[in-house]
Amino acid sequence: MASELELALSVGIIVITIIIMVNNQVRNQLIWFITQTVVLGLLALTIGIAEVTTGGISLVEGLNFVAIAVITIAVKAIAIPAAIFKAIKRINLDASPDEQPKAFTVSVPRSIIVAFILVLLSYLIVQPVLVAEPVVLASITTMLLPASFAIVLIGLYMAATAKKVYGQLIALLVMENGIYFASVSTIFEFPAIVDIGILFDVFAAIMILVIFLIAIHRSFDTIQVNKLNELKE
Amino acid sequence: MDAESAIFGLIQGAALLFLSPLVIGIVRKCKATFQSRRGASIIQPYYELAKQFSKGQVISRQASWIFRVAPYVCMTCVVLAVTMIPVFITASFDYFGNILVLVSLMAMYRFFMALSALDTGSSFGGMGSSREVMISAIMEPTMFLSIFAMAAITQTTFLSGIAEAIQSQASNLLHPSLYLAFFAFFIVMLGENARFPFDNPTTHLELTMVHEAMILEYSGKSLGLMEYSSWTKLTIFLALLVNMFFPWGIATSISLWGIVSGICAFLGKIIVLAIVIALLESSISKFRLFKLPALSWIAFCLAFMAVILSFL
Repeated sequence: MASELELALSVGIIVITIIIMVNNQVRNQLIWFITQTVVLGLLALTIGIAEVTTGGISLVEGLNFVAIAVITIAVKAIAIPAAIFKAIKRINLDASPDEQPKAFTVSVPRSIIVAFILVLLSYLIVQPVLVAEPVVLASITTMLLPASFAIVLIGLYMAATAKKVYGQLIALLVMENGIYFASVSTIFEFPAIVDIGILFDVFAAIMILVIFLIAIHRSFDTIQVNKLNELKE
Repeated sequence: MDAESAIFGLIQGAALLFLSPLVIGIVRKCKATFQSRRGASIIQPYYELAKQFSKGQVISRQASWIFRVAPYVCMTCVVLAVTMIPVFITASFDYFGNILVLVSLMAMYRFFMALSALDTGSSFGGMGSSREVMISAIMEPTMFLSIFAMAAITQTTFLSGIAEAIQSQASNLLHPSLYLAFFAFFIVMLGENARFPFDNPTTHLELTMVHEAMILEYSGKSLGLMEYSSWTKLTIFLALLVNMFFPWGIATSISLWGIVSGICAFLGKIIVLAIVIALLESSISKFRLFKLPALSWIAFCLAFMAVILSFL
């Protein structure tokens, strides 16, 4: 039953990623991103508890794992969205006319087809890795690794097609979630300091991006990516 | 066929018929709570049914026999369908058909409902049935695909067989496509049962109503039958969702302890789903009609993904 729950949560994360992709408004995207992070944290907690009870890792390592999950939720579901919400308020996105129509250059049905192909591709690509002889992987890894690949790929696609700067910001966050997902599904004896280091990197990157967002809006009066290629005094 | 399964099938069908107003009551109560209203008691739908069954009815002179027959046809469809659903034990009365028969029963239900709405010639009925048929046309492929995914994983199309296969050999059947099909089927459930974001089940505003527009001409006993059958249809879909995709706790053999835990697990799962529906209905608004194909497209892609992944 525990592994059923993990599989269901992993598929739920894929579905939430697709929902983030088809959303047009940055607020909704952020709310779904928070949901995704919380589900990912729950998934990490389940994996940690299951590994400790089956004896895959020791209690101290399990606590380490759980601590990383809690810190991740605290940073990515609370601190980063709060900063972005503040930036949105600061540049007054709701009042700017270019906020409304589309967040991505590709239309929604086409994006869904692309996401669908990416998910299939990630399952196809990861399959030979999972059955390769010399490495024996945990059963959780074989179940969850393709899903994490799919999320990184969809995040990459979102970053490539984003029309506004904040679209790329959210794509970066989604990709980071995918990478964290890959780490929780493969390596259970991760030293906490490494993960906290990665998390801090992302936090710093997001903060710089948020400051950039405000600065871009101040000097160009728009955050549309395609208008940023004109040089301006 | 053995007698025990038949008896359990009938008992489970009766239980679903009895529970369906309660499920609606729970959804309404939760919705009221989320919207900071007090809301009616959760047994209010039973009172509504009792009131409607004790009233006489008014039938338009323009109406033909289809209008009179349709409530009974709809009720027969759901009564046949409920006996096939495994509720607390995997044995059920599904000798006469598998899940494809269930889908056809639901299609017949919808066909007669749309026909009866057209029959009186009111403009609301025609509008409602045209919308309903459009929604069902874009939902039905998804429903079939998610069922095919289940059939490909469990190698059977019988409902009791699906529930039993997933419950008894869970570790072999762990497959991401099971849960992809779950999400697709959840969106199908919302569309088929006229819930948000496809239809607003509480509105009587002519611009937005779909299901309500179709039963607008009915009154008294016929209205009661129509509403009761649509509530039971929602309960059927919820039972399918919880017992096909998450058959945790369902009894696979006849024992007192298994049946008791099966009943508790079923009630728990249904209540969780009812709360999820209420949460959804309080947090999002109804979509524009022309935005619905995008949503059904997501569901279709999820179900298609499930089918392809189940062969990988």
